Amino acid sequence: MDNDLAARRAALGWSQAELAARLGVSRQTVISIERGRYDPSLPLAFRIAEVFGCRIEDVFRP
Amino acid sequence: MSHPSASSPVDVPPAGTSAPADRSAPWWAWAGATLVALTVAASVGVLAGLVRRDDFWLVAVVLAVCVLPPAALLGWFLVVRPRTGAPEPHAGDNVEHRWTQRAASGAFWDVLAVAGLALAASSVTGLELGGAFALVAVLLLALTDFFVRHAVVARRES
Repeated sequence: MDNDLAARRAALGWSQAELAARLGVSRQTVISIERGRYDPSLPLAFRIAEVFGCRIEDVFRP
Repeated sequence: MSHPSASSPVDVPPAGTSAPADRSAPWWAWAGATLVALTVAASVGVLAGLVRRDDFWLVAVVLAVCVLPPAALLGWFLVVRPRTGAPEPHAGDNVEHRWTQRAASGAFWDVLAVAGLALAASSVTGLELGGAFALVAVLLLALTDFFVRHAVVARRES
């Protein structure tokens, strides 16, 4: 799925490691999601949306 | 893109430092792990020696030495690991977890296929393979298959 995770993260000044720590996942997970090579699980998608204060569909697009 | 209002800040350790929950295991944890390792290795050695009574000490010592590395890993896992680092409640969400699952699943089916083909070939040709040889071959195939699959999927999805 396409996503704008990297842009949202950069807008908040977070590194990939920081975002990974906030989500409770590995940095590699964040990298793979940002590159569109890994689709997060539903619980992780909800946590991503919560961290950025938006809806899941605002971050991810099929 | 609207500027998101991030949720309340989470305690994130500064870059280059370890999270508060990461800690070194106390000395007695390492001593306990060593004790577990030696006990397991000695037990396996003695058990094997009792099976091969004619060469009790030779078999017992060789088996104990061979079992010592995995026994040490077991001791670390049981005693040291629970005392270092925080549990990962979201470990299943990591991409590495998916890599491991896919590699293990693929290796399982590959071992089944190869074992089936080898059995068929053995039946047709009448070739008899020793049990130990077959088991080692299966083990090596499973390990090699898993690591190769893991490397391939990790490279593709990283």
